[in-house]
Amino acid sequence: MTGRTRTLLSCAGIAAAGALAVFGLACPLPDAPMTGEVFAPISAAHPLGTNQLGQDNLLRTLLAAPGALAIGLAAGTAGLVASTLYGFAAAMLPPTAGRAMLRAVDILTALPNIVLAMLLATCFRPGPLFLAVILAAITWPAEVRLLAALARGQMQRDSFRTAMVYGARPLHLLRRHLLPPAGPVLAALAILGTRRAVMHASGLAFLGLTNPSSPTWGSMLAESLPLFYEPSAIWLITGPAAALSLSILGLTFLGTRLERRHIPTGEAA
Amino acid sequence: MIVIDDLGVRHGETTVLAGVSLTLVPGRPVALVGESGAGKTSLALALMRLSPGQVHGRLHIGDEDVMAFDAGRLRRYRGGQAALVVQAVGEALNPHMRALDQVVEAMTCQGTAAASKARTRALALLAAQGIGEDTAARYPAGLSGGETQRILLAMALANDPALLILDEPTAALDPASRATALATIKEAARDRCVLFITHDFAAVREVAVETAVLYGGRLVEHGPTREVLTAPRHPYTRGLVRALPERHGGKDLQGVPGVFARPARGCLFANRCPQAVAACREMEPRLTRRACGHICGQGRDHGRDHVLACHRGGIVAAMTVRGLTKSLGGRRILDGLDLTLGCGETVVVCGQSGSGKSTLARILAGLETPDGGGVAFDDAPGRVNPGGLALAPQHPHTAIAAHFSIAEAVAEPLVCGGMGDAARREAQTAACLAAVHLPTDTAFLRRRAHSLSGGELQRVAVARALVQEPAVLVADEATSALDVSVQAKIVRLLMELQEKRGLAMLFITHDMPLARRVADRILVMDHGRLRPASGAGPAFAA
Repeated sequence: MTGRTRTLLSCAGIAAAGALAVFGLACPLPDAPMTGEVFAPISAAHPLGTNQLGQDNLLRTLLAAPGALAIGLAAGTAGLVASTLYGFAAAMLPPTAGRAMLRAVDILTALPNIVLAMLLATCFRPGPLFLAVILAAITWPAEVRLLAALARGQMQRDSFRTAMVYGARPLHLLRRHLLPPAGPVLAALAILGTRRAVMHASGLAFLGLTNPSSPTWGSMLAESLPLFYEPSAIWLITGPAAALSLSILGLTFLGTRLERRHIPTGEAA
Repeated sequence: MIVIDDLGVRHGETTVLAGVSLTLVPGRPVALVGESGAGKTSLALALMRLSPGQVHGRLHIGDEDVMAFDAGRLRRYRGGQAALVVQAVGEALNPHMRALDQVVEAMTCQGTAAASKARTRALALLAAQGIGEDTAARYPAGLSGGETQRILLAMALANDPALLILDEPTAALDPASRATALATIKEAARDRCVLFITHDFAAVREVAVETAVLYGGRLVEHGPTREVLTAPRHPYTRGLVRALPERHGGKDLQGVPGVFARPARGCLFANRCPQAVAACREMEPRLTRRACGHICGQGRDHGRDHVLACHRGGIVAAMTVRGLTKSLGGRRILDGLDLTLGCGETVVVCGQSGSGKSTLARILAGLETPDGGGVAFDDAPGRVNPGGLALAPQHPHTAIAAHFSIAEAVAEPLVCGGMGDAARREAQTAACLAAVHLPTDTAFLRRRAHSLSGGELQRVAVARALVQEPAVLVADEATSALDVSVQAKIVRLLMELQEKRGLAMLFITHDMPLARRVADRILVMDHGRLRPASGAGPAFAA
């Protein structure tokens, strides 16, 4: 499989996830009806059993999927855009200013960012959009150094310098000289960012720090904890836990494969 | 001594000659060169007071004012003091008289010799031209063009004139007769004033001490023959000299672009001059001995007697490099390098690998910054042909981003420079690709740079350099990956651009035959500096 097809595949994956997220958010399914048997074990009618309100566990898990993916994609992409622009600026500006920008980023990465996110979430109890903003804000510094290094690598190239001599504007340089060769790396980073954002969003929801009105896998896990006196509560955990783990695992595998393929030598960049 | 001062000739409304000032001194023959129609023959006729137009200005022979001569004095002047060998040989001799008799008559009617003496002298003069007694006895109808020419020359010398004007005296002669005629002229020029009108630059070199260049009836350059022919200062003179077929090992025939036009005002040459500025179209330049702004003389200073009429002081430097230094990896690559590249000049730089040729090219193109020194371009305001420097790089695959389409790669300088709208850029791109013999169909324009062969990509790089319409082109091994046929076409294209637009070229190559073919000068990179190549010499050198 060539780098190009791989990039296409990952783009297709992201597009599919995005479509699912947008579609799910645009036309939300009604919440699962509370008509079934309470704490029903797994059966043909309820493949993952029911909860304490008689709602189908599988249905609730699926209902939470679009939100989780949407937040992940939004936060991951926004973070990547921010770090790309920042890294490009740091590489383009005169060395002193560029170094100062990178030092600032070092300070940000040194902060325990999840704690910062918890603090912000506690204060604001964010809805999905604000949550995505918070997650993007805490994750973007992590990739800046890599992206700045990539940009600097490109800027050493004659094609880039020639374009500078031609009087190219920064936007042209970014759009035509830096982004196309960095495409595979950016795709990999987008996937990894999405994965991380999904994980962080679920963590915050689990801690009850997000707006509880929308169903999330994290809040579903948190809700099930007090019900462990009931043996069939195990099925309450299975759905969200499996969905969360599988989505994170899938994104991780995809991301690391892309990363390993493109980042280490930078020869494709 | 003949002094011509501000001489002008008008035919009705047309000014044929204007402001011609020349001093003819015995022993210093002056050659008058210039395109057909420049007014050379008009000047010759005006000096003989034979001009059909209105002549004004001053013309003195010794202390006498020729313009004030009455008919009798004029008769003695023509044929006695001044002799003209005319160009139209067919009608120059009286068809009803034997050739010998005509030479004799030239003397008897001036009263310079008695009939018998005149006959002996005429035979001697004709014999000196290789005309025997039997040929001399023929009627003009029986003489060839070359023989007629030689008889005319003998006739002109018959009265030992103080001023000898020769209008194309060698045009119809075979090499042997030509050599005889030139020897006679040289001999005759020792103690009399000679104005030698010709297109034959080899003859100019042989005979003339000074050379004056006439353009549109104005003298544009006048100086010692060697200087004018080897290091011309006026762009027109250079065009003329470059058009010579006998230039050894030089470029293919180049010439002067465009055609002569007679503008209402301004320098007459401005419409054909690649370095013209707005002022050239406003004011007519005077023939002056101005400071030497000129550079093609290989640093040689021009004599005080070398004058020219040009607002810009002759051929200007398109690029001046002074004291360039650059160290890379602790090694001094360039060490105080100086280079002056004239407008419309080709300088070839050769030298070993690693001697810093490409570093020089990259610094000039702005891809590297020098440690010291500077580069200046001709930035006179109001230039007709503006344009900066373009590099045709040695490694096009690094200079052109692999993911670029061909159309995008060629148009990038225009896009970045914000030049023209999309349609105009597209047209320019297509034109440049066609000029370097690449296809211009959509399928090719959409191909990615990485999918091209080395030769194709190199041509794309040349097209990308040309699309900028540069004033200076730095070609760093720009034809090394091309097959000889394509290379020939591209080199010819560059030479054509040089003729048309005065493109100055810095040509870096290892290919010595190619270098000798294109170069005005060949320089060798040696210890971080440029020095003239030994042996190769400037291709211009006489």
